Formats: sequence, structure tokens, C-alpha cells
Amino acid sequence: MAKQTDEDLLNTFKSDPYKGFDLIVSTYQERLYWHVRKMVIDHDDANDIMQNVLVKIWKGLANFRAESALFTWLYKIATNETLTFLKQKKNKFSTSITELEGQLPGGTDSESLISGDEIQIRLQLAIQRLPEKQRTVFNMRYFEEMKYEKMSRILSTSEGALKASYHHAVKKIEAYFSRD
Amino acid sequence: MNEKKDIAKEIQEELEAISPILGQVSAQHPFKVPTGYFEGLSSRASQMAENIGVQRASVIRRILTIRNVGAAASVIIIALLIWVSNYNIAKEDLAELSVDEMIEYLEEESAFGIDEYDLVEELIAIESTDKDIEVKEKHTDVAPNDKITDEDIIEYLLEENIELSTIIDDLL
Repeated sequence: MAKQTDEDLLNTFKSDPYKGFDLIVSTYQERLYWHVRKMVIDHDDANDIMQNVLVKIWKGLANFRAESALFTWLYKIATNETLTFLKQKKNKFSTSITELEGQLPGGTDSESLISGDEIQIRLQLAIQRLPEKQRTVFNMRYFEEMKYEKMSRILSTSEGALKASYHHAVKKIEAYFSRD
Repeated sequence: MNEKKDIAKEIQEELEAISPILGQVSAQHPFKVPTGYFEGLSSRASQMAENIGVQRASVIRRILTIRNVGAAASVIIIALLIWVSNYNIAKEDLAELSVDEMIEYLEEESAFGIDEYDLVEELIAIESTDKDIEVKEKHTDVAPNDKITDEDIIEYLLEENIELSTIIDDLL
């Protein structure tokens, strides 16, 4: 089946909300999940956030006026939900970092949903030490290969500020790598 | 496809220019999901939608009441008050600032992490200390139990992706 555009998805939603929602979820769920997961580390937390995101999407779609791209709107909901979660559950997030550290050579945790070579885990540990919004910017640019222009619309921040934020994030991660 | 490659190349070059060390690391993450997770998520989403039911697109009409315009204005005023008090800005200095400069500050959330979530939360906190004000519905086409709650306002601002700058523009 040919890939549907956002306009196709919204038209389907207008004529059949359930089918349209189903298509929108199928199209974007993985990108949204990974966007959230890289911020919170823990799968169960990411899953909880995704449930809230999906409820907001479903409730909001009827009023979505397509003044912004569907993609931008969905990412904005996921980003805001994640940042709210992180503000509310700082202690829980520290536990997730400990779990991540457990995956390093000499660590004790072998059952979690994290695996990868040492450098990937060290990179994650460095990323998780960034302030939340800087981390969001870094992940969107580095992993999701997003243009500043798109990020600017999602995060409601000027491109200049995003470039500066990404630059600082990279420098901090580099310093972490050099130190270890 | 070419555009995607161009972006990837641009990002790689940017990264290498800032940090040659990080430029050598492959952009992969170490996380996994349980097998079949996304199929399950899709079906749970469909189930959730059926449980909630189709939403009416009438919030826009309901939101356009005096109380809600007032709420939007309150958000802006609170944001500016936080800003002014945090920076201890003199009135005469504030007068010299353009609206664009104020908006830019609020949008970039620089020093105090102010965003729409914070502002709306602040608004709720202030409102919760006051008596719950009953809204007299003047529009006969709005049913009494259609009263707009603070949650409706928050949902509307967030889900409609309404920026502070838009609200300010509308009010000016």
C-alpha cells in the first residue's frame, strides 16, 4: 500500500474517525514511541506516556485544524507529555539511569530492555545528564535527523536558540566522553 | 530520498565540526521493545478510542467565551509578572522592550523554564485559591452542563498548539 500523506490520514479521519485514528497511530506510533523512550529510558514509563499521548491525540483530532502539520502537532503532544512526566518523576528517572549504568561492563542488570555496545550506553549516559530540553533537542537532531526548521515548530523555539542548544549539548557530551 | 540523505550529511558535517570525537560514534541507541509491542499498542489505541467515543468538534465554539479570553490574557500577564519579578526589571526598562522581545523570551524559556504548561499550571493554582466563579452562560445554544472547565482550556491550548504569540497577537 502506498504511503499515505497527512492530508490523506486527516481526510480518512473526517469520514471515519476510528479508521483514521487507527491509520494515524499505525503511521506515527513507532516514531513517537522512540522519541519518548529516548527521553525517559524505561520502557514502562514510555508506554505510560504513550497511552496519555494517544488519548490526547484521539480527543484532540476532532478539533485539529491543520494549521500546523499533523507530524508537528503529534510530536508536540508527545514532547510536552514527556517533559511533564520528567518534571513529576525525577526520582523515577534516576532509577532508570542506574539501570542504564547496570548495562555497562561490570554492571549487574542483565534482564532489562537495554542492550548495546559499551559506547552506545556511555553515549546514553552522557545524554541523560543533559538538561531535559537540551536532551530533547539533541535527540531530535542526532537520532531523528530532524531539521532545525521542523524542531522549531515542534518546540516553539527559534532556530538560533536550537542551534545553540545542540552545540552546547554536543560539547557537554564530548566532555563526558573525554573525561572517562 | 535525496532530501533525507542531504539532511543526514548536513547533520554529520555539523557534528564533526563541533566534536570530531562524537562524529565518529554511530547514531544508534541501545533500547529494545518487547516483541509485538507496537501491534499491541495499536490495538489498545483502537480500544481506547472506542471506549471514549467520537469527540465533538464543538470546543472551539465553547471556548470562545469571555471567560476564556480572560484566561488566555491571565496566562500572558502571569508570564510577564514572573519574568519581571525574576529579573527585577524596572518599569521604565520594561517599557522599552518590544512585544517581540517579550515573546521571544517566553518562547525560548531561557532562564526559568517557563512554558505554556507552567503558565497554565500557575493559572490553575491562582484560580484554585479563589472561589469557584460560576459562569453565567449567555449563549442559549450552549447547554448548562457544557460549562468549560480549566482542563478544557488547558487541553484546548495544548492540543490546538496555540502559541503565546498567537494569543498576544489576538489580544493586541
